[in-house]
Amino acid sequence: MVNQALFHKLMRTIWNTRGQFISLVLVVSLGIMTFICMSATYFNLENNMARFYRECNFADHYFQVASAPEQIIDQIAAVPGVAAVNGRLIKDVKVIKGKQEQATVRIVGYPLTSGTIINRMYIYEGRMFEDDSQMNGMETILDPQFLEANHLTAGDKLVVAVNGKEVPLTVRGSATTPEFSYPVKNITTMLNDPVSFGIAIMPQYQAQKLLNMGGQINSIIIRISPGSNERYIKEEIKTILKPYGYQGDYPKKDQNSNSFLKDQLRQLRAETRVIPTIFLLAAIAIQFVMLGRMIKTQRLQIGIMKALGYKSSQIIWHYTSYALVIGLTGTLIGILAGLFLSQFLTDLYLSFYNLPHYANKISSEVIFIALLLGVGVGLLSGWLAARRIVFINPSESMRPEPPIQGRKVFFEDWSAFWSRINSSWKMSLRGIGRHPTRFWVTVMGVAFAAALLVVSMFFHDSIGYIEQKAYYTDQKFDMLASFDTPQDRNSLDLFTSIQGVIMAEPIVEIPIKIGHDQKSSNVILQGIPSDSRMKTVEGIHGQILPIPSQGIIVGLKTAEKLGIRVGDPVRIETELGIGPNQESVIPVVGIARQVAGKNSFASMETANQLLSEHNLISGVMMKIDPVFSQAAEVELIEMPGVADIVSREKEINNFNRNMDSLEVAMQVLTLFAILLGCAISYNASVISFGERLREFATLRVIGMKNSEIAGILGKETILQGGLGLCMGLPLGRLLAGGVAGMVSSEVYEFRAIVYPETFMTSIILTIFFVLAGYLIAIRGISRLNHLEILKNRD
Amino acid sequence: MGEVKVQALFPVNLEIYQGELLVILGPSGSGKSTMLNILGGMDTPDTGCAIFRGLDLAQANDHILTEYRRREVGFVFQFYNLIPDLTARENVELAANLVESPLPAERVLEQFGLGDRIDHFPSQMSGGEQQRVSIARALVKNPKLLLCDEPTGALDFETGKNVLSLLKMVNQEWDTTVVIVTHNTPLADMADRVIKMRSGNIIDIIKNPVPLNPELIEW
Repeated sequence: MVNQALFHKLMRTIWNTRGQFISLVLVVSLGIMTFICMSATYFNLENNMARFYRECNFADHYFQVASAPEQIIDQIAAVPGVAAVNGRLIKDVKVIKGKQEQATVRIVGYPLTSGTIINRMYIYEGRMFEDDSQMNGMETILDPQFLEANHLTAGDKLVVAVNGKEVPLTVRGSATTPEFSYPVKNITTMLNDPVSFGIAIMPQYQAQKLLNMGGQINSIIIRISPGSNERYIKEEIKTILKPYGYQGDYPKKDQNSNSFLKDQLRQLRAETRVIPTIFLLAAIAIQFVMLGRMIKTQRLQIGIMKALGYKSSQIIWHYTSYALVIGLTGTLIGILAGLFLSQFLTDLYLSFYNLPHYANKISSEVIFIALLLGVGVGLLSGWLAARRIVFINPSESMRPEPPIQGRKVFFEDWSAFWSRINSSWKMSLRGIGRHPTRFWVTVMGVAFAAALLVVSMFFHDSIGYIEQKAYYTDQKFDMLASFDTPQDRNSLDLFTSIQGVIMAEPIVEIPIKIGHDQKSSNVILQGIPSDSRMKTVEGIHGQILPIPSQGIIVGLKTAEKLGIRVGDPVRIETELGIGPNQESVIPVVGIARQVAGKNSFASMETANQLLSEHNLISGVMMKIDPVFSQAAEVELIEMPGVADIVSREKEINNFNRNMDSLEVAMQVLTLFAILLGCAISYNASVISFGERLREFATLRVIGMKNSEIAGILGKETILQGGLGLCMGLPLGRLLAGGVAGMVSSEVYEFRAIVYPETFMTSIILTIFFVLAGYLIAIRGISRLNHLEILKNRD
Repeated sequence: MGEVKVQALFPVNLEIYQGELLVILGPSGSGKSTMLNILGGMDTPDTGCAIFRGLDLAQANDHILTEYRRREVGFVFQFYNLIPDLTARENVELAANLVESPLPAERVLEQFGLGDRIDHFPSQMSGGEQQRVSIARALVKNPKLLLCDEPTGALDFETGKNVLSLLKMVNQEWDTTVVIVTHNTPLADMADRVIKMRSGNIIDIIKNPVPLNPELIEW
C-alpha cells in the first residue's frame, strides 16, 4: 500500500528543495548525457562502418603488379580459398586546373561485369555508369570530398592530362568505396587534401583506353572464403603475378583508408568513452555526497517518524526514493538529451570520415549502463545516507546534532600565524576546522569542476603542440617538391636557381616494409643528408640524433610494434613501385620519437644502397623567402617531373582539418564541463547554506552585519576555491596524461601538453563558478529571517 | 578530551497505573526526559527493567520497540515536531497510516478545534494550533499511553492552558494514560499523581486526591 502521507511528503520535499533537486538532476543528467551522447555516437559510427564494409564487399587482400593481362583473373579465381577476385587499372593523373593550382586524381577502373564486385561503390549523388556509355565519351564518378572541394557537380567536365594529351571526363556524380573512404595519395602524406587529390572511378574499359593500356590491369583485389589459409593464397597469387612484375601486397588491415578509419575510431573511442566516464563518475560522486548531506539535515524528521512508530526500513525507503527520483529523472533526461545530441554528432563524424549514413540504431547496452549507474547510484547514496541516521537511537535523532566540541583547530597551534590574522579570518578557519567534511566536499566539487575543464580543453593544446613540433621544429622546410620518378641528385641545381629559394636540400623517400622476427610494418624511409638543416630527428629522450652513415633510425611506434631495439638487424624490402623490390638486412642504430608520422630515417647514401642505386633523390626540400613564395610555387608546379608540392602552410591547414573531428568532441565536452561545474558549485553552496542557516541567524542576532557574515563566508570560499584549484589543476593534468596516451595512434602522438592559457581559462571559469555559488549564499543571507529560523527548531 | 559520560537516571522504582494522569516534575537535568524516552521505547536503560503489560522494554530489540511505539504510545513534544512539508491532516494521517483501525483524522482535528486548519501547513499555524495538531497526531492511533515532553514549554499562558485542558479531556473521556514531563511546578496541581525528580533520582511521589481543572491553574 502506498502511504499517501509519505507520498505527499516526498512530493513536497522535492518541491521545497527544488533548487537543489534541479541542480542534482542537472548534475546526473549532464553526466549521463555526456556518456550517452559520446557512446552512442561512437556506436553509430562503428555500426555504420561495419555495414558499409559488409554491403560494399570490402576486399580482404590487395596485390600490385606492374601490368598484367585481364585474363589472369581467371587464374587467380581458381586458387582454392579465393571467393571473388577483381582486377583494376589504377593510375594517378594530373588534373588541368588554373595556374598555381595543382591536383591529381587517381583513376580507378571499375569492372562492369555481372560477377561479384569487390569494393562496390556507394553512390551519394548522380548515377551509376551505363553499360554502353561509349556514346557519351569518358565518364567518371568522383569521391564526394573532391567533388565538393573543387565545386563540381554532375554533368561538369574534369580535364585530365594523360601522356601530354588533355582529356575531358564527364562527371556523373559522387560515390565512395571502403577502399577510398579516406583518400590519401600515399602514406608519406598521411593527410588527405580533397582540393588537390581525389579518386576518379571510371568504367574499366574506359580507364584502359584513357591510359592506353587496353586489356591490362595493375591491381588485384580478392575476397577470401572464411576459414581459408590467407598465407597460402597470398603465396599462390604472388607466384601467378611474378612474371608480370609483382610489386607488393597488403591485407585489409594495412589498407590506408581502413587503417586510418580504425585509428580515428580508436581515438574517438578513447575520447568519447574515457572522458564522459570521468564526467559520469564526477557527477555520481557529487550526487552521492550531496544527497548524503541533504538527508543528514532531515535528522529531526527521521526522529519524529521513528517516534511515531515507523519502521527503519520504511524510513530508509522513503529517503531513498527521494534520491531515486533524482537519479531516475536525471538519467531519463540524460538519455533522451544524449541520444538527441548524438544524432548531430554522428552526422558530423560520418561526413568527416566520408562514411555513408545508414539509420542509427540505439545501443541498448549503453542505455543499460547509464540506467544502472544513474539509478543505482541514486539508490545507493540515498540508502547509505538514510541508514546512517535511521540507526541512531530515536531519542538521539530527535535532538539536533550534538554541537561540535569547541576544541582548537590545528592552525591555532601555529601561534606566529594565528596571532597575526584578524578575527574574521579566525572565525572562518575555526569554521573550517570544525566542519571539515563540509569544507572538503566543496573543495572536491571545485577540484572536479577544474579538472574536467582541463581534460576537455587540453586537446586543443596538444594539437597545437603537434603542429608546432612537426611543422616547425622537426621539419624546417617551407616547401617540398616530390618527383614522379626519382631523379639524379644533379637536378637539385634546378631548384637552387629558382628565385626566392634560399636553400635546397635533397631527400629520398622510399616506401619500405621493415621486418623483425615474424612481424613487419609498412613505413616510409626518409634518406636525408647527414648535415641536414631541414630535418631534425629526435631520440626518445628528446636528444638530437645525428644521421648515421651506416644503419637506420627506426620510428618509436614501429620499434615498439615490431619489438626492435638499438643494435637489432632488420629486414628491409623497398616498395618503390618502379623496378623490382630490393631486400636487404641492416642494423638499427637509433630510435626516433615523432609527434606526427611514422617515418624511419637513414643517410642519403644508405637509402640509395637499399635501392641498389646511388645519387638518386625523390624530392627537394626548400627554404623559401616568403616574398617569393607564391611565384616559386607556380614555377615549381610547372617544372617537368615534379608531381607534388607540399608547403608547410598547406600541410598545417590539412592537419588542422583532420583534427577538426577531435576538436568538435572537445568543444562539446568543454560545454558540458562548464554546465557541470555550474551545477556542482550551485549545489555545494545551496546545501552548505541550508546547513548553516541557524549559524548565520545566530550571528545576525548577536549583532553581526550581513556584510560581516558575507566576509566570513567569503574567506571560506576563497580557501575552498583556492584549494580546489590547487587540487583540480594537477588532477586535470593527470587525467589528460591518461587520455592522451589512449588517443595517441601510430601516426600521431598526443602528449599531455597543457598550455598556461588553458590553465588560466580553467582557473577563470572555476573562479566564476565559485563566485556564482558565493553570490547565491550572500543573497540568502540578506533574505534571512533570523528570528523565524531561531524560533523553529526545524 | 573525549565525550563525557553522564548517568542521566539512577535506578528508580516507579509504577504507572492505567488511566491516570501523571506529572513528572523536575528541573532540567533531573532525568525526567530520559525517563519519558524509556517509557516511550525511544531509548533503553543500561540496567534494570521497564515493563509495559508484561513486555520488558529494556530487553526489547529495535523491531519490538518500533511495534510498541506504533501501537501503544503517542508522543507530544515541546516543539511540536510536525513535518513541515505536510498539512495538518497529512501530519495526522502520517501516524494514522501506521495502525489498522485508527480514529478518523479529520474528526480528531475537528474535535480539537482545528476544523478550519485541516489543510494548513505548520508554518501557517500558531504554536497552540501546532501543538494541538501534534496531540491529534499522537492520539489518532488511539494509543494506551500518551507521553508529553514539556507540552506547554513553547506556548504562552492561555494557549498552554488550552492544551492542558485538551490533555485532561483525553485522559478523562478517552481513558488514555497521560504522562506529562515538565519543570513547570503549577502543572502538578492537575495530576492524579506527581513524581518529583532531581539529579536522576525520584525524590518524592505525591498523590493528589483532588486534581485541579487546568483552567484554574496559574503560572
